[in-house]
Amino acid sequence: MTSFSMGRYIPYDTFVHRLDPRTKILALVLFMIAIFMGQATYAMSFLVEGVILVIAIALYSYSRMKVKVLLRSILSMWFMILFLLIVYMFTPRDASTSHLAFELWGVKVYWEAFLDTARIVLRLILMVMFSLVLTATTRPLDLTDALEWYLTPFKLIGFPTHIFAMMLSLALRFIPTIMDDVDRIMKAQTSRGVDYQKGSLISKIKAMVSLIVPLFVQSFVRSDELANAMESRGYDPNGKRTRYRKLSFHLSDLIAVLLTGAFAALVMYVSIVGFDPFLAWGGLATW
Amino acid sequence: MPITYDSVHFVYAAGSPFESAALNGISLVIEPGSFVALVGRTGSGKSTMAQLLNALLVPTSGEVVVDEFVNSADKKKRSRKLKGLRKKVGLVFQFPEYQLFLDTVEKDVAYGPKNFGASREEALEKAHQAILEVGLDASFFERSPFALSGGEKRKVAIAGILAMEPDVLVLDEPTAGLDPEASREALALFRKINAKGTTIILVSHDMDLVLEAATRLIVLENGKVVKDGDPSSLFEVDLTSYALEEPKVFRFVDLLKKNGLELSPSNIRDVESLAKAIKEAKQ
Repeated sequence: MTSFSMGRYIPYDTFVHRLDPRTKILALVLFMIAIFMGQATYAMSFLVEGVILVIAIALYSYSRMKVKVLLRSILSMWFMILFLLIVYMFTPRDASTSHLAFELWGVKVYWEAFLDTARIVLRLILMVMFSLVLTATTRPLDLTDALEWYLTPFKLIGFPTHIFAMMLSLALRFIPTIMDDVDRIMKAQTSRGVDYQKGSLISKIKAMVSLIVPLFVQSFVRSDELANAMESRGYDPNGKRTRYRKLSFHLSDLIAVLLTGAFAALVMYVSIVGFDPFLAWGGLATW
Repeated sequence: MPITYDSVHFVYAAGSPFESAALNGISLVIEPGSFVALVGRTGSGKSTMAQLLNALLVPTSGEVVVDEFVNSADKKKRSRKLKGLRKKVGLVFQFPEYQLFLDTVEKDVAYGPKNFGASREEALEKAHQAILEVGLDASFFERSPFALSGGEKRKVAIAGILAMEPDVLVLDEPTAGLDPEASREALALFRKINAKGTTIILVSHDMDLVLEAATRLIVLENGKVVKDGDPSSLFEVDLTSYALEEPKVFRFVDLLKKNGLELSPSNIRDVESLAKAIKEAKQ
Protein backbone atom coordinates (compact mmCIF):
# COMPACT_ATOMS: atom_id res chain seq x y z
CA MET A 1 0.00 0.00 0.00
CA THR A 2 1.27 3.45 -0.77
CA SER A 3 0.98 6.09 1.87
CA PHE A 4 -0.19 8.36 -0.93
CA SER A 5 -3.74 7.32 -1.39
CA MET A 6 -5.71 9.28 -3.94
CA GLY A 7 -6.75 12.75 -2.89
CA ARG A 8 -5.43 12.48 0.61
CA TYR A 9 -4.94 15.81 2.36
CA ILE A 10 -1.34 17.00 2.07
CA PRO A 11 -0.46 19.81 4.46
CA TYR A 12 1.33 22.30 2.23
CA ASP A 13 0.73 25.99 2.71
CA THR A 14 -0.39 27.43 -0.62
CA PHE A 15 -3.02 29.95 -1.58
CA VAL A 16 -5.42 27.11 -2.42
CA HIS A 17 -4.81 25.49 0.96
CA ARG A 18 -5.58 28.72 2.77
CA LEU A 19 -8.90 29.33 1.04
CA ASP A 20 -12.05 28.84 3.07
CA PRO A 21 -13.40 25.30 2.48
CA ARG A 22 -16.81 26.82 1.71
CA THR A 23 -15.22 28.78 -1.11
CA LYS A 24 -13.59 25.65 -2.45
CA ILE A 25 -16.79 23.62 -2.39
CA LEU A 26 -18.72 26.39 -4.13
CA ALA A 27 -15.95 26.78 -6.70
CA LEU A 28 -15.98 23.02 -7.32
CA VAL A 29 -19.74 23.09 -7.95
CA LEU A 30 -19.37 26.09 -10.28
CA PHE A 31 -16.60 24.39 -12.24
CA MET A 32 -18.68 21.21 -12.50
CA ILE A 33 -21.53 23.21 -13.98
CA ALA A 34 -19.14 24.86 -16.43
CA ILE A 35 -17.66 21.49 -17.40
CA PHE A 36 -21.00 19.83 -18.08
CA MET A 37 -22.64 22.70 -19.96
CA GLY A 38 -23.38 21.51 -23.50
CA GLN A 39 -21.94 23.68 -26.25
CA ALA A 40 -23.23 24.31 -29.73
CA THR A 41 -20.54 22.40 -31.62
CA TYR A 42 -17.66 20.04 -30.94
CA ALA A 43 -15.15 22.76 -31.71
CA MET A 44 -16.72 25.10 -29.17
CA SER A 45 -16.99 22.31 -26.63
CA PHE A 46 -13.30 21.50 -26.85
CA LEU A 47 -12.41 25.19 -26.77
CA VAL A 48 -14.35 25.75 -23.51
CA GLU A 49 -13.05 22.55 -21.96
CA GLY A 50 -9.54 23.43 -23.07
CA VAL A 51 -9.80 26.71 -21.18
CA ILE A 52 -11.06 24.86 -18.11
CA LEU A 53 -8.22 22.38 -18.49
CA VAL A 54 -5.71 25.22 -18.39
CA ILE A 55 -7.32 26.49 -15.17
CA ALA A 56 -7.33 22.96 -13.75
CA ILE A 57 -3.66 22.41 -14.57
CA ALA A 58 -2.77 25.77 -13.05
CA LEU A 59 -4.65 25.00 -9.82
CA TYR A 60 -3.31 21.46 -9.74
CA SER A 61 0.33 22.45 -10.03
CA TYR A 62 -0.17 25.52 -7.84
CA SER A 63 -1.39 23.35 -4.96
CA ARG A 64 1.77 21.25 -5.41
CA MET A 65 0.06 18.01 -6.36
CA LYS A 66 1.91 15.14 -7.97
CA VAL A 67 1.25 14.36 -11.63
CA LYS A 68 1.64 10.68 -10.78
CA VAL A 69 -1.53 10.73 -8.69
CA LEU A 70 -3.53 12.15 -11.58
CA LEU A 71 -2.08 9.72 -14.12
CA ARG A 72 -2.89 6.81 -11.87
CA SER A 73 -6.51 7.86 -11.46
CA ILE A 74 -6.84 8.36 -15.23
CA LEU A 75 -5.31 4.96 -15.94
CA SER A 76 -7.77 3.35 -13.54
CA MET A 77 -10.57 4.60 -15.84
CA TRP A 78 -9.31 2.75 -18.93
CA PHE A 79 -12.07 0.17 -18.89
CA MET A 80 -14.77 2.81 -18.69
CA ILE A 81 -13.17 4.71 -21.57
CA LEU A 82 -13.14 1.58 -23.72
CA PHE A 83 -16.74 0.82 -22.82
CA LEU A 84 -17.83 4.36 -23.68
CA LEU A 85 -16.05 4.18 -27.01
CA ILE A 86 -17.80 0.94 -27.93
CA VAL A 87 -21.20 2.31 -26.94
CA TYR A 88 -20.62 5.49 -28.96
CA MET A 89 -19.39 3.52 -31.97
CA PHE A 90 -22.64 1.59 -32.15
CA THR A 91 -24.88 4.55 -31.46
CA PRO A 92 -26.92 5.23 -34.61
CA ARG A 93 -26.29 8.71 -36.01
CA ASP A 94 -27.86 10.93 -38.62
CA ALA A 95 -25.74 10.15 -41.70
CA SER A 96 -26.43 13.52 -43.31
CA THR A 97 -24.78 15.56 -40.53
CA SER A 98 -22.16 13.06 -39.37
CA HIS A 99 -18.76 12.26 -40.81
CA LEU A 100 -18.05 8.66 -41.73
CA ALA A 101 -14.71 7.35 -40.46
CA PHE A 102 -14.77 3.72 -41.61
CA GLU A 103 -17.03 0.74 -41.87
CA LEU A 104 -16.56 -2.22 -39.55
CA TRP A 105 -18.44 -5.45 -40.40
CA GLY A 106 -21.19 -3.43 -41.97
CA VAL A 107 -21.46 -1.01 -39.08
CA LYS A 108 -20.84 2.58 -40.04
CA VAL A 109 -18.48 4.20 -37.56
CA TYR A 110 -18.52 7.99 -37.52
CA TRP A 111 -15.81 10.37 -36.38
CA GLU A 112 -18.39 11.76 -33.96
CA ALA A 113 -18.13 8.57 -31.89
CA PHE A 114 -14.48 9.33 -31.12
CA LEU A 115 -15.21 12.99 -30.48
CA ASP A 116 -18.04 12.12 -28.08
CA THR A 117 -15.77 9.72 -26.19
CA ALA A 118 -12.94 12.23 -26.08
CA ARG A 119 -15.32 14.87 -24.75
CA ILE A 120 -16.63 12.64 -21.97
CA VAL A 121 -13.13 11.50 -21.03
CA LEU A 122 -11.90 15.08 -20.94
CA ARG A 123 -14.82 16.03 -18.71
CA LEU A 124 -14.09 13.12 -16.38
CA ILE A 125 -10.42 14.09 -16.17
CA LEU A 126 -11.38 17.68 -15.38
CA MET A 127 -13.79 16.49 -12.71
CA VAL A 128 -11.15 14.25 -11.16
CA MET A 129 -8.60 17.07 -11.19
CA PHE A 130 -10.86 19.57 -9.45
CA SER A 131 -11.99 17.02 -6.87
CA LEU A 132 -8.39 15.99 -6.21
CA VAL A 133 -7.42 19.62 -5.67
CA LEU A 134 -10.31 20.04 -3.24
CA THR A 135 -9.59 16.96 -1.14
CA ALA A 136 -5.81 17.33 -1.21
CA THR A 137 -5.85 20.93 -0.06
CA THR A 138 -8.62 20.75 2.53
CA ARG A 139 -8.61 19.00 5.85
CA PRO A 140 -11.47 16.46 5.92
CA LEU A 141 -12.90 18.02 9.05
CA ASP A 142 -12.91 21.46 7.43
CA LEU A 143 -14.81 19.93 4.54
CA THR A 144 -17.52 18.60 6.81
CA ASP A 145 -17.75 21.92 8.62
CA ALA A 146 -18.25 23.60 5.28
CA LEU A 147 -20.87 21.04 4.23
CA GLU A 148 -22.69 21.53 7.49
CA TRP A 149 -22.67 25.27 6.85
CA TYR A 150 -24.25 24.74 3.46
CA LEU A 151 -26.90 22.53 5.05
CA THR A 152 -27.95 25.10 7.67
CA PRO A 153 -30.98 26.29 5.65
CA PHE A 154 -32.38 22.77 5.90
CA LYS A 155 -32.53 23.09 9.66
CA LEU A 156 -35.70 25.12 9.13
CA ILE A 157 -37.48 22.06 7.77
CA GLY A 158 -36.17 19.92 10.63
CA PHE A 159 -33.24 18.27 8.89
CA PRO A 160 -30.75 17.13 11.58
CA THR A 161 -27.72 18.85 10.06
CA HIS A 162 -25.54 18.31 13.08
CA ILE A 163 -26.11 14.55 13.16
CA PHE A 164 -25.50 14.41 9.44
CA ALA A 165 -22.26 16.38 9.78
CA MET A 166 -21.14 14.21 12.69
CA MET A 167 -21.72 11.05 10.67
CA LEU A 168 -19.83 12.50 7.77
CA SER A 169 -16.89 13.68 9.84
CA LEU A 170 -16.66 10.32 11.60
CA ALA A 171 -16.67 8.54 8.27
CA LEU A 172 -13.95 10.82 6.94
CA ARG A 173 -11.99 10.63 10.15
CA PHE A 174 -11.84 6.85 9.91
CA ILE A 175 -10.66 6.60 6.31
CA PRO A 176 -6.95 6.90 7.24
CA THR A 177 -7.46 4.59 10.21
CA ILE A 178 -9.05 1.96 8.01
CA MET A 179 -6.32 2.43 5.42
CA ASP A 180 -3.79 1.71 8.17
CA ASP A 181 -5.80 -1.40 9.07
CA VAL A 182 -5.74 -2.50 5.44
CA ASP A 183 -1.99 -2.05 5.37
CA ARG A 184 -1.48 -3.94 8.60
CA ILE A 185 -3.78 -6.84 7.71
CA MET A 186 -2.28 -7.13 4.23
CA LYS A 187 1.19 -7.30 5.71
CA ALA A 188 0.15 -9.91 8.24
CA GLN A 189 -1.54 -12.06 5.59
CA THR A 190 1.33 -11.58 3.15
CA SER A 191 3.69 -13.04 5.71
CA ARG A 192 1.28 -15.98 5.94
CA GLY A 193 1.88 -16.57 2.26
CA VAL A 194 -1.01 -14.66 0.67
CA ASP A 195 -0.16 -13.00 -2.63
CA TYR A 196 -2.37 -10.00 -3.37
CA GLN A 197 -0.66 -9.12 -6.63
CA LYS A 198 -0.25 -12.29 -8.63
CA GLY A 199 -2.30 -15.39 -9.22
CA SER A 200 -5.53 -16.38 -10.92
CA LEU A 201 -8.80 -14.53 -10.43
CA ILE A 202 -10.04 -17.15 -7.95
CA SER A 203 -6.89 -17.02 -5.84
CA LYS A 204 -7.13 -13.23 -5.90
CA ILE A 205 -10.71 -13.36 -4.66
CA LYS A 206 -9.65 -15.79 -1.94
CA ALA A 207 -6.84 -13.42 -1.00
CA MET A 208 -9.33 -10.56 -0.75
CA VAL A 209 -11.46 -12.57 1.68
CA SER A 210 -8.46 -12.82 4.00
CA LEU A 211 -8.34 -9.03 3.98
CA ILE A 212 -12.01 -8.12 4.05
CA VAL A 213 -13.18 -10.37 6.89
CA PRO A 214 -10.65 -9.06 9.44
CA LEU A 215 -11.23 -5.53 8.18
CA PHE A 216 -14.96 -5.76 8.85
CA VAL A 217 -14.39 -7.36 12.25
CA GLN A 218 -11.97 -4.55 13.16
CA SER A 219 -14.32 -1.86 11.92
CA PHE A 220 -17.32 -3.19 13.82
CA VAL A 221 -15.29 -3.49 17.01
CA ARG A 222 -13.97 0.00 16.53
CA SER A 223 -17.33 1.61 15.84
CA ASP A 224 -18.78 -0.11 18.88
CA GLU A 225 -15.96 1.21 21.02
CA LEU A 226 -16.34 4.68 19.57
CA ALA A 227 -20.08 4.71 20.27
CA ASN A 228 -19.44 3.65 23.86
CA ALA A 229 -16.72 6.26 24.30
CA MET A 230 -18.98 8.99 22.96
CA GLU A 231 -21.88 7.94 25.13
CA SER A 232 -19.78 7.67 28.26
CA ARG A 233 -18.71 11.25 27.69
CA GLY A 234 -22.34 12.29 27.53
CA TYR A 235 -22.73 12.81 23.81
CA ASP A 236 -26.20 13.92 22.92
CA PRO A 237 -26.88 14.00 19.18
CA ASN A 238 -29.51 16.68 19.62
CA GLY A 239 -27.53 18.84 22.02
CA LYS A 240 -26.50 22.36 21.13
CA ARG A 241 -22.77 22.70 20.80
CA THR A 242 -20.13 25.28 20.17
CA ARG A 243 -17.24 24.81 17.79
CA TYR A 244 -13.54 24.55 18.29
CA ARG A 245 -12.71 25.67 14.77
CA LYS A 246 -14.38 28.60 13.09
CA LEU A 247 -14.47 29.00 9.35
CA SER A 248 -13.41 32.43 8.19
CA PHE A 249 -14.20 34.06 4.89
CA HIS A 250 -11.52 36.48 3.68
CA LEU A 251 -11.21 38.93 0.84
CA SER A 252 -9.26 36.31 -1.15
CA ASP A 253 -12.24 33.98 -0.82
CA LEU A 254 -14.56 36.66 -2.13
CA ILE A 255 -12.30 37.23 -5.12
CA ALA A 256 -12.04 33.48 -5.80
CA VAL A 257 -15.82 33.06 -5.62
CA LEU A 258 -16.46 36.07 -7.86
CA LEU A 259 -13.91 34.92 -10.44
CA THR A 260 -15.19 31.35 -10.65
CA GLY A 261 -18.78 32.62 -10.57
CA ALA A 262 -18.09 34.99 -13.45
CA PHE A 263 -16.35 32.25 -15.41
CA ALA A 264 -19.21 29.79 -14.88
CA ALA A 265 -21.74 32.45 -15.84
CA LEU A 266 -19.82 33.16 -19.04
CA VAL A 267 -19.73 29.48 -19.96
CA MET A 268 -23.45 29.16 -19.23
CA TYR A 269 -24.25 32.23 -21.32
CA VAL A 270 -22.21 30.97 -24.23
CA SER A 271 -23.94 27.60 -23.96
CA ILE A 272 -27.46 28.98 -23.77
CA VAL A 273 -27.17 31.40 -26.71
CA GLY A 274 -25.25 28.76 -28.67
CA PHE A 275 -22.43 31.20 -29.42
CA ASP A 276 -19.71 29.78 -31.62
CA PRO A 277 -16.87 31.76 -33.14
CA PHE A 278 -16.02 28.87 -35.46
CA LEU A 279 -19.32 29.05 -37.31
CA ALA A 280 -17.95 32.01 -39.20
CA TRP A 281 -14.90 29.99 -40.08
CA GLY A 282 -15.93 27.68 -42.93
CA GLY A 283 -13.84 24.60 -42.21
CA LEU A 284 -15.21 23.83 -38.78
CA ALA A 285 -18.73 24.99 -39.40
CA THR A 286 -20.22 21.51 -39.68
CA TRP A 287 -18.51 20.06 -36.59
CA MET B 1 23.29 -19.09 7.41
CA PRO B 2 23.11 -15.98 9.53
CA ILE B 3 20.85 -12.99 8.95
CA THR B 4 22.78 -9.94 7.80
CA TYR B 5 21.80 -6.28 7.81
CA ASP B 6 24.25 -4.32 5.68
CA SER B 7 24.11 -0.53 6.25
CA VAL B 8 20.34 -0.50 5.98
CA HIS B 9 18.51 2.80 5.74
CA PHE B 10 14.76 3.11 5.60
CA VAL B 11 12.66 6.21 4.99
CA TYR B 12 8.85 6.22 5.12
CA ALA B 13 6.97 8.25 2.47
CA ALA B 14 10.19 9.60 0.96
CA GLY B 15 9.82 12.88 -0.88
CA SER B 16 6.53 13.90 0.72
CA PRO B 17 5.72 16.18 3.67
CA PHE B 18 5.15 13.00 5.73
CA GLU B 19 8.71 11.79 5.16
CA SER B 20 10.34 10.22 8.19
CA ALA B 21 13.52 8.24 8.52
CA ALA B 22 13.06 5.02 10.48
CA LEU B 23 16.45 3.37 10.10
CA ASN B 24 19.75 5.22 9.74
CA GLY B 25 22.40 2.71 8.81
CA ILE B 26 21.91 -0.62 10.56
CA SER B 27 24.66 -3.18 10.13
CA LEU B 28 24.60 -6.36 12.14
CA VAL B 29 24.67 -10.12 11.92
CA ILE B 30 22.25 -12.42 13.72
CA GLU B 31 23.51 -15.96 14.26
CA PRO B 32 21.14 -18.86 13.63
CA GLY B 33 19.61 -20.33 16.75
CA SER B 34 20.06 -17.21 18.82
CA PHE B 35 17.37 -15.46 20.84
CA VAL B 36 17.73 -11.78 20.04
CA ALA B 37 15.74 -9.02 21.70
CA LEU B 38 15.21 -5.71 19.91
CA VAL B 39 14.34 -2.94 22.31
CA GLY B 40 13.98 0.81 22.12
CA ARG B 41 11.39 3.51 22.46
CA THR B 42 8.34 3.84 20.21
CA GLY B 43 9.49 4.99 16.78
CA SER B 44 13.08 3.84 17.21
CA GLY B 45 12.76 1.54 14.20
CA LYS B 46 12.21 -1.88 15.77
CA SER B 47 9.13 -2.85 13.77
CA THR B 48 10.68 -1.54 10.57
CA MET B 49 13.69 -3.77 11.15
CA ALA B 50 11.39 -6.73 11.69
CA GLN B 51 9.38 -6.07 8.52
CA LEU B 52 12.51 -5.74 6.39
CA LEU B 53 13.34 -9.34 7.30
CA ASN B 54 10.22 -10.51 5.53
CA ALA B 55 10.58 -8.17 2.54
CA LEU B 56 7.29 -6.53 3.48
CA LEU B 57 9.34 -3.36 3.29
CA VAL B 58 12.24 -2.76 0.93
CA PRO B 59 15.23 -0.80 2.26
CA THR B 60 15.81 2.71 0.95
CA SER B 61 19.48 1.79 0.77
CA GLY B 62 21.57 -1.17 1.88
CA GLU B 63 20.40 -4.75 2.05
CA VAL B 64 19.07 -7.47 4.33
CA VAL B 65 20.18 -11.02 3.57
CA VAL B 66 18.49 -14.15 4.93
CA ASP B 67 20.09 -17.29 3.53
CA GLU B 68 19.81 -17.12 -0.26
CA PHE B 69 17.22 -14.34 -0.11
CA VAL B 70 18.34 -10.77 -0.63
CA ASN B 71 16.13 -7.80 0.20
CA SER B 72 18.10 -4.97 -1.31
CA ALA B 73 17.52 -1.36 -2.32
CA ASP B 74 19.18 -2.39 -5.57
CA LYS B 75 16.53 -3.89 -7.82
CA LYS B 76 19.00 -6.12 -9.65
CA LYS B 77 20.20 -7.78 -6.47
CA ARG B 78 16.75 -8.20 -4.92
CA SER B 79 15.38 -11.76 -4.89
CA ARG B 80 12.35 -12.32 -7.09
CA LYS B 81 10.59 -15.18 -5.37
CA LEU B 82 9.73 -13.98 -1.90
CA LYS B 83 7.37 -16.76 -0.94
CA GLY B 84 10.29 -18.91 0.16
CA LEU B 85 11.58 -16.08 2.33
CA ARG B 86 8.17 -15.68 3.93
CA LYS B 87 8.05 -19.35 4.74
CA LYS B 88 11.51 -19.16 6.26
CA VAL B 89 10.82 -16.05 8.32
CA GLY B 90 7.59 -16.19 10.31
CA LEU B 91 6.44 -12.76 11.39
CA VAL B 92 4.03 -12.34 14.29
CA PHE B 93 2.73 -8.79 14.24
CA GLN B 94 1.68 -6.69 17.17
CA PHE B 95 -1.89 -7.63 18.15
CA PRO B 96 -1.89 -10.52 15.66
CA GLU B 97 -5.48 -11.44 16.45
CA TYR B 98 -6.72 -9.19 13.61
CA GLN B 99 -5.32 -11.61 11.05
CA LEU B 100 -7.87 -14.30 11.98
CA PHE B 101 -10.62 -14.67 9.42
CA LEU B 102 -11.72 -18.27 8.91
CA ASP B 103 -14.62 -19.96 10.66
CA THR B 104 -12.69 -22.49 12.71
CA VAL B 105 -9.43 -22.28 14.62
CA GLU B 106 -7.87 -25.26 12.84
CA LYS B 107 -8.67 -23.88 9.38
CA ASP B 108 -7.22 -20.52 10.28
CA VAL B 109 -4.02 -22.01 11.64
CA ALA B 110 -3.76 -24.30 8.60
CA TYR B 111 -4.11 -21.32 6.26
CA GLY B 112 -0.40 -20.44 6.31
CA PRO B 113 0.95 -23.95 5.61
CA LYS B 114 -1.63 -24.37 2.84
CA ASN B 115 -0.47 -21.15 1.18
CA PHE B 116 3.05 -22.51 1.22
CA GLY B 117 2.00 -25.61 -0.64
CA ALA B 118 1.07 -28.17 2.02
CA SER B 119 -1.84 -30.48 1.20
CA ARG B 120 -5.09 -30.19 3.16
CA GLU B 121 -4.29 -33.11 5.45
CA GLU B 122 -0.70 -32.03 5.98
CA ALA B 123 -1.76 -28.49 6.77
CA LEU B 124 -4.40 -29.65 9.25
CA GLU B 125 -1.87 -31.97 10.86
CA LYS B 126 0.59 -29.10 11.26
CA ALA B 127 -2.21 -26.86 12.53
CA HIS B 128 -3.21 -29.36 15.23
CA GLN B 129 0.39 -29.65 16.37
CA ALA B 130 0.83 -25.89 16.51
CA ILE B 131 -2.42 -25.36 18.42
CA LEU B 132 -1.37 -27.91 21.02
CA GLU B 133 2.10 -26.39 21.16
CA VAL B 134 0.84 -22.93 22.11
CA GLY B 135 -1.03 -24.46 25.03
CA LEU B 136 -4.56 -24.82 23.72
CA ASP B 137 -6.26 -28.23 23.74
CA ALA B 138 -8.00 -30.24 21.04
CA SER B 139 -11.40 -28.81 21.99
CA PHE B 140 -10.36 -25.56 20.28
CA PHE B 141 -9.90 -27.12 16.82
CA GLU B 142 -13.48 -26.71 15.73
CA ARG B 143 -14.31 -23.50 17.56
CA SER B 144 -14.71 -20.13 15.90
CA PRO B 145 -11.69 -17.89 16.43
CA PHE B 146 -14.01 -14.92 16.90
CA ALA B 147 -15.64 -16.45 19.97
CA LEU B 148 -12.36 -16.79 21.91
CA SER B 149 -10.95 -14.55 24.60
CA GLY B 150 -8.22 -12.04 23.78
CA GLY B 151 -5.42 -14.23 25.12
CA GLU B 152 -6.71 -17.31 23.29
CA LYS B 153 -6.99 -15.37 20.03
CA ARG B 154 -3.38 -14.30 20.46
CA LYS B 155 -2.34 -17.93 20.93
CA VAL B 156 -4.25 -19.00 17.83
CA ALA B 157 -2.61 -16.24 15.79
CA ILE B 158 0.84 -17.29 17.01
CA ALA B 159 -0.02 -20.91 16.23
CA GLY B 160 -0.90 -19.74 12.71
CA ILE B 161 2.71 -18.65 12.24
CA LEU B 162 4.25 -21.64 14.05
CA ALA B 163 2.36 -24.03 11.79
CA MET B 164 4.40 -22.65 8.89
CA GLU B 165 7.48 -24.08 10.63
CA PRO B 166 9.67 -21.03 10.07
CA ASP B 167 13.44 -21.09 10.63
CA VAL B 168 13.30 -17.59 12.02
CA LEU B 169 10.45 -16.40 14.20
CA VAL B 170 10.05 -12.65 14.50
CA LEU B 171 7.73 -11.51 17.28
CA ASP B 172 6.60 -7.88 17.44
CA GLU B 173 5.47 -7.11 20.99
CA PRO B 174 3.91 -10.54 21.42
CA THR B 175 2.97 -9.95 25.05
CA ALA B 176 1.36 -6.51 24.64
CA GLY B 177 -2.00 -6.49 26.37
CA LEU B 178 -1.57 -9.92 27.98
CA ASP B 179 -1.72 -10.44 31.73
CA PRO B 180 1.57 -11.31 33.51
CA GLU B 181 0.78 -15.01 33.65
CA ALA B 182 -0.07 -15.22 29.97
CA SER B 183 3.12 -13.27 29.22
CA ARG B 184 5.19 -15.83 31.17
CA GLU B 185 3.48 -18.69 29.34
CA ALA B 186 4.19 -17.03 26.02
CA LEU B 187 7.81 -16.53 26.94
CA ALA B 188 8.16 -20.17 28.01
CA LEU B 189 6.75 -21.13 24.61
CA PHE B 190 9.24 -18.93 22.75
CA ARG B 191 12.12 -20.42 24.73
CA LYS B 192 10.91 -23.90 23.92
CA ILE B 193 10.77 -23.05 20.21
CA ASN B 194 14.22 -21.49 20.43
CA ALA B 195 15.58 -24.61 22.09
CA LYS B 196 14.54 -26.59 18.99
CA GLY B 197 16.88 -24.44 16.91
CA THR B 198 14.56 -21.72 15.63
CA THR B 199 16.11 -18.27 15.65
CA ILE B 200 13.94 -15.87 17.61
CA ILE B 201 13.87 -12.12 17.21
CA LEU B 202 11.75 -10.55 19.90
CA VAL B 203 10.67 -6.92 19.71
CA SER B 204 9.58 -5.86 23.15
CA HIS B 205 9.28 -3.16 25.79
CA ASP B 206 9.13 -5.59 28.65
CA MET B 207 12.69 -5.60 29.94
CA ASP B 208 11.94 -8.29 32.52
CA LEU B 209 10.96 -10.72 29.80
CA VAL B 210 13.88 -9.69 27.63
CA LEU B 211 16.43 -10.16 30.38
CA GLU B 212 14.98 -13.53 31.24
CA ALA B 213 15.00 -15.01 27.77
CA ALA B 214 17.27 -13.24 25.32
CA THR B 215 20.84 -14.30 24.63
CA ARG B 216 21.58 -11.02 22.93
CA LEU B 217 20.06 -7.61 23.34
CA ILE B 218 20.07 -4.83 20.76
CA VAL B 219 19.00 -1.34 21.80
CA LEU B 220 17.79 0.95 19.02
CA GLU B 221 17.56 4.70 19.20
CA ASN B 222 16.63 6.97 16.28
CA GLY B 223 17.12 4.16 13.80
CA LYS B 224 20.63 3.31 14.99
CA VAL B 225 22.03 0.51 17.12
CA VAL B 226 23.22 2.13 20.34
CA LYS B 227 23.89 -0.97 22.45
CA ASP B 228 24.46 -4.53 21.39
CA GLY B 229 25.46 -7.29 23.74
CA ASP B 230 24.71 -9.75 26.47
CA PRO B 231 21.51 -8.76 28.33
CA SER B 232 23.15 -8.77 31.75
CA SER B 233 25.79 -6.28 30.54
CA LEU B 234 22.95 -3.80 30.46
CA PHE B 235 23.12 -3.51 34.20
CA GLU B 236 25.72 -0.77 33.69
CA VAL B 237 23.64 1.08 31.10
CA ASP B 238 21.17 3.78 32.01
CA LEU B 239 18.15 2.28 30.28
CA THR B 240 15.87 5.16 31.22
CA SER B 241 17.68 7.38 28.72
CA TYR B 242 16.25 5.09 26.01
CA ALA B 243 12.76 5.29 27.55
CA LEU B 244 13.16 1.72 28.81
CA GLU B 245 12.47 0.45 32.25
CA GLU B 246 15.22 -1.18 34.25
CA PRO B 247 14.41 -4.86 34.86
CA LYS B 248 12.93 -5.45 38.31
CA VAL B 249 15.69 -7.85 39.35
CA PHE B 250 18.32 -5.24 38.47
CA ARG B 251 16.52 -2.67 40.58
CA PHE B 252 16.55 -5.17 43.42
CA VAL B 253 20.30 -5.68 42.98
CA ASP B 254 20.73 -1.89 43.10
CA LEU B 255 18.79 -1.68 46.32
CA LEU B 256 20.82 -4.51 47.86
CA LYS B 257 24.00 -2.71 46.88
CA LYS B 258 22.81 0.47 48.61
CA ASN B 259 22.16 -1.57 51.70
CA GLY B 260 25.56 -3.19 51.66
CA LEU B 261 25.23 -6.41 49.69
CA GLU B 262 27.28 -6.40 46.51
CA LEU B 263 26.20 -8.90 43.84
CA SER B 264 27.65 -9.52 40.40
CA PRO B 265 24.77 -8.98 37.94
CA SER B 266 26.30 -11.12 35.20
CA ASN B 267 24.33 -14.27 36.03
CA ILE B 268 21.14 -12.66 37.24
CA ARG B 269 18.29 -13.13 34.81
CA ASP B 270 15.17 -13.71 36.85
CA VAL B 271 13.91 -14.08 40.41
CA GLU B 272 15.37 -17.57 40.77
CA SER B 273 18.87 -16.68 39.65
CA LEU B 274 18.69 -13.59 41.87
CA ALA B 275 17.82 -15.77 44.86
CA LYS B 276 20.69 -18.07 44.00
CA ALA B 277 23.12 -15.16 43.77
CA ILE B 278 21.99 -13.83 47.15
CA LYS B 279 22.40 -17.27 48.68
CA GLU B 280 25.90 -17.63 47.28
CA ALA B 281 26.89 -14.16 48.46
CA LYS B 282 25.71 -14.96 51.97
CA GLN B 283 27.78 -18.13 52.20
